[in-house]
Amino acid sequence: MSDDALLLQGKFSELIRWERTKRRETVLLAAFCYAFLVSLLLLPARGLLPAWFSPFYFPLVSFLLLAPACFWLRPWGEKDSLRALFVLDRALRLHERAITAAEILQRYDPSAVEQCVLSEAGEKLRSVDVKALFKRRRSWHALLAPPLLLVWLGLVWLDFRMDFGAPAPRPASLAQKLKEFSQELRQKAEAQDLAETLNVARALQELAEERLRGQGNDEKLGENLAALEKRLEERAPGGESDSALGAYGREALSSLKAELEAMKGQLRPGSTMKEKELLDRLSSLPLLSQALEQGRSPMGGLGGQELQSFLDKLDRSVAAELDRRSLAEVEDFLSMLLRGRETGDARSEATMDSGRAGEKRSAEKAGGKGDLAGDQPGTRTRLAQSPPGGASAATELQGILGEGKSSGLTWRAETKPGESKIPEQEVAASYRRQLEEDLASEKIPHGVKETVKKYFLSLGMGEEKK
Amino acid sequence: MEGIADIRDRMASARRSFEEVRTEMGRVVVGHEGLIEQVFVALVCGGHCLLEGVPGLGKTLMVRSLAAVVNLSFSRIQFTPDLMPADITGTQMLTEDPSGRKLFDFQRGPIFAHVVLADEINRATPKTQSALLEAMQEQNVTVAGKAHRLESPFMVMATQNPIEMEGTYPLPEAQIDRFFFKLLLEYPSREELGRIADLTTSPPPLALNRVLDAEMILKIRAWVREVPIAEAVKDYTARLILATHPQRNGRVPIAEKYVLYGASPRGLQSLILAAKARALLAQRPNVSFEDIRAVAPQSLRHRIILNLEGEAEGVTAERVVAEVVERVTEIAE
Repeated sequence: MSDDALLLQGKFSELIRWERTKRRETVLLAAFCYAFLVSLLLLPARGLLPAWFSPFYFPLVSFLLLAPACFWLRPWGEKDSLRALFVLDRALRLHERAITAAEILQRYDPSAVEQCVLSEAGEKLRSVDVKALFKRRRSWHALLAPPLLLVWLGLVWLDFRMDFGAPAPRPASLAQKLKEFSQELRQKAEAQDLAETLNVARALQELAEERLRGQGNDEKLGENLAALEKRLEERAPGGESDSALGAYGREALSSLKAELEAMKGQLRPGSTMKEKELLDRLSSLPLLSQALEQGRSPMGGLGGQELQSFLDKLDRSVAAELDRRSLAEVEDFLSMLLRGRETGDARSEATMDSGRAGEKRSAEKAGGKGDLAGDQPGTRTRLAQSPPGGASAATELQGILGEGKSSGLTWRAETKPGESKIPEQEVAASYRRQLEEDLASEKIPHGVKETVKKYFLSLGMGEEKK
Repeated sequence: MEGIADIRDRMASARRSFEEVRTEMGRVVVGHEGLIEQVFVALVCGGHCLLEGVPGLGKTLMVRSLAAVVNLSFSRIQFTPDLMPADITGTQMLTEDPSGRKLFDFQRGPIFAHVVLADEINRATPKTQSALLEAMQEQNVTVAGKAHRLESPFMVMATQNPIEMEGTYPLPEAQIDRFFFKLLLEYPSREELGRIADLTTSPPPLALNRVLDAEMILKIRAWVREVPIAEAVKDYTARLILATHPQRNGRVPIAEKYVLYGASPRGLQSLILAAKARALLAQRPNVSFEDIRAVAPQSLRHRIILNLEGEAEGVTAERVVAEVVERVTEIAE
């Protein structure tokens, strides 16, 4: 084979390789454009696709499907090689010497005229750099690709913003929750004269305010709260419940306390109330009368001094019981608060195990997972908290406060006494505690807090009045 | 064994011969440079030409000049309605030998020349016109059952007048198809008319020099056939031919509408051979697409038969060829 023939073979191979490379790039670019076009068309229909199928996958999947199709539709063939040679002839004004030479190269023994063709083609192509001669041309795909990419990214960003960028109700911070709780606790402690609860409430408020002023951090606050919780836990065994007052609900105890205050006012040293009036007054205080009977102190057999000392003793017991219960509530609240902080606010709100009984008590609850009545107040378990269908996305329900149309059916039936071993008062008290926690954790919208609170406080009142 | 240098020499030689013929003919033929080249191409391809033009454009002069410069025998036949085939081919004459025996001797007709001018060919009857068929196609003349070979190179140059159709016999398609080229003579321009006036009204020019002989013409003919043509170019030529056919795939709209019959395979031969000759005269060792396009009008115009609609609407074969050349792509899609 002559030098010209070798040179031409090399040049033609180089040319065809280069053109094939450009073709591949063009096809891939076209597939890229089509992929983004398909993605744009699919974007409105993303609701029909599974939730895990992120819009970011659309172009990738489309591209993986379209690229082979594009290559299949535009395969490189003999004609493409011929066309490349034709373009070379055109570009260099070779008058089809390249095409003719390429054919001659495939022959075994070229004639003199054919060798002349090879020679002339070789002379013309010797110094030609095909890559420089046939540079990449910008096809419409190349021009379209960047705007398509930008449009797609923009739409996806907007879409995400609409989905996730909407201001979600921010869970209250630890310090905020603590402050609200401590304020309520303090008011309650002051109202009921609960000394220890008041101290704890002050301590909690102080910690919350320190954190809100920017001192320290959530970690440190958590540590302080954990220490406080531990102190309360250690203190708990010493503060045994008065067996007589243990059966009283919190409301009942509050009422008893109020009756005691009223009675003590009647028995003040300067009081001129006669014994009969005192008895009448006492009979109008049902809870106090009941306590006197339980204390085996028939009213008739008590003198003024004895009654005074009994009432003082009862007053201290009631105050201690209220204090104990309040501190237990504080302990539960702190436990819940710290546990929620560990698992994250969002999750903690959904999985919060509220209720005074807590996890320890839940574990103790026999047959708690069944339909049968237990011997402890019910608690919300994690399973019960999980939304049906296992949706993981945040859900926001928006409602309108105020009157609206409503419809419903009311069923009236005879009630039967249940077989529960838990006193109804304790169940109501448990619900109220749960309410307080829910109110503190802002699970309940601000506008309906008061309504919900009143409803739960009204539970069991009728029973207590009986 | 020839080398590349020999090939280049032969190309240069062919070019030089053409230049000499053109220069020499140009002394008496005013204008028509393109026609001179086309006539030369037909000559070196072994083809025959049909020259068409109104009277007085120099058709006969051109043929006579060609015969004069190429040192070939020349004969002229004036076609008339009473011209008989034997007047062209020759006839058996009863003669007496020196011993007094009477013999039939074949008297050669004017067809026995290298260059034959068939002037106003359409004035003879079809029977007489067909006397040229065998000579043009096979370079033979058969008289009284005996074939007589015509000398090479042999070339028929026929002329016809496109406007005076009364008393004429249009050439049959089979006859027309045997012409390698159909050349149209255009009316001369103002400058050319001035030169014609000078040439014809002043003392006659010196006799034309003979610059080319039969041997050289035959050599060039052989060289023309050796010019390589790429398959892609050949395929392009075939697609051009098919595009003129109204029922074939790849036809162009104008052919579909106005053509009755497209170009014959002789059209393909004419295109390729003429393109090879053109390449050789351009000192190029291979045929290009441009060569094919350049010779398409003269090769195909007389091979396309228009239908009634085409003729009624004044569509010409040239227009059909032009549209075919414009629409057919070099590389098949």
